[in-house]
Amino acid sequence: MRVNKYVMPIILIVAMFAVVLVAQATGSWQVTGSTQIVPTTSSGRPDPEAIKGKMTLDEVITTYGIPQADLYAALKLPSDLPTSKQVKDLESVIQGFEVDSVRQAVIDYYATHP
Amino acid sequence: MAARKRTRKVTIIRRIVQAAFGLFLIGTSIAHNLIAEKTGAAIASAEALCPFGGLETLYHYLTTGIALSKIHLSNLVTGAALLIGLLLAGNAFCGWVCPFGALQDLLDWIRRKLHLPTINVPGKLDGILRYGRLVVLGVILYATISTAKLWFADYDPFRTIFGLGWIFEPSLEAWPAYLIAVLFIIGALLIPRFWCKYACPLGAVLSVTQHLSLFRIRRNASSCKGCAICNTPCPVGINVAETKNRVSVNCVGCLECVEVCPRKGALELQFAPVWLPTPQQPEPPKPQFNVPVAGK
Repeated sequence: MRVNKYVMPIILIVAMFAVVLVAQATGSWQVTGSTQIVPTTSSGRPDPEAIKGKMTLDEVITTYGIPQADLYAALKLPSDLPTSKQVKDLESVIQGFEVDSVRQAVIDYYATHP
Repeated sequence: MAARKRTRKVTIIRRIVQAAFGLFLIGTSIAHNLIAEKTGAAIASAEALCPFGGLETLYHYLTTGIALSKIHLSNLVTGAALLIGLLLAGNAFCGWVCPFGALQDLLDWIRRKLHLPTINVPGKLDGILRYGRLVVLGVILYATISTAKLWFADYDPFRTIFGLGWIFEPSLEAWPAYLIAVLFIIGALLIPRFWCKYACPLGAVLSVTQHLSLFRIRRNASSCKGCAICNTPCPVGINVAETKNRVSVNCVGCLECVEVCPRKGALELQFAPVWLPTPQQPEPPKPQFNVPVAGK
């Protein structure tokens, strides 16, 4: 059955946008943050080695269950620093800062809070 | 002149749609690099919108419940959107939406304006090289599944070019990705739709799903007069004039051949789902005029 040639691109674009809109409406449209569940250590806790520079402080706090106050104290961060700050950007806050510092802070926290 | 006038409407509309998607992607990528990278705002990167990322991670996600690192939920959504679009409308994504295809069309336009030479790949070699898409897809899937990470991200020319890392975060360590992107641009300048024809892994997937599409371009041999004008505008060098029934799975759904065909009923977009019988066609007449297939 012959159809108007514009039917094909119109249906394609409408269908694609419809899926995206449904995803947005159901909260499934996320363009940031990883969908990866952080791998766990043998103790069953999230592996600190999986901390990446692109993770925000909030994600570290949430994923690893370390209170903000404890994390900030361990890293000597100013208390008014927003948790939306990415780990890799802490270099601008603390001279000589490295992502490993965050990993070590979590390791130390786990050691004192088994 | 009449044939050229007939191409203008669908070409103009398609260029506008391509430009809209391409500019949206570039704008989002710029905003991501300038704003999101500094503030953590939820602005998509180019790779967050890439449907192929969703397809790459599909196996891992289905088998472990975990998506690969660097994959966002948006990749899975756009991957699903693309699959649904493909099943409904065939490879129109390639001809109307894909920014990479739009970039190649732009490079081809530049080539013509600058009167640069084009490489006409001989027919047999072209046929062999078309399998390159499957090879690229196979290598990517194998490497992705075996390493459980987004292996292709470090080499993907789409991510390299549209991610704009070469502007905002240039790095010598990314030289393999830069080299592949440069080779892609050179290839696209010399051969129309070079990536689509010979290397696109998403195109390899689409060539399979196209068989399930509800719509397909069909050639009616009894109406065709064999002028072969339809070969001229095809960006991927399909010999439309000698198609027995449905146009090749390499078709990008640009509709230029349908638009330019001077004989009503000879080349049509039809609603032809796979469950409907394929109409039998008489042997197509040989083209009366030796109109070369683009790129061949």
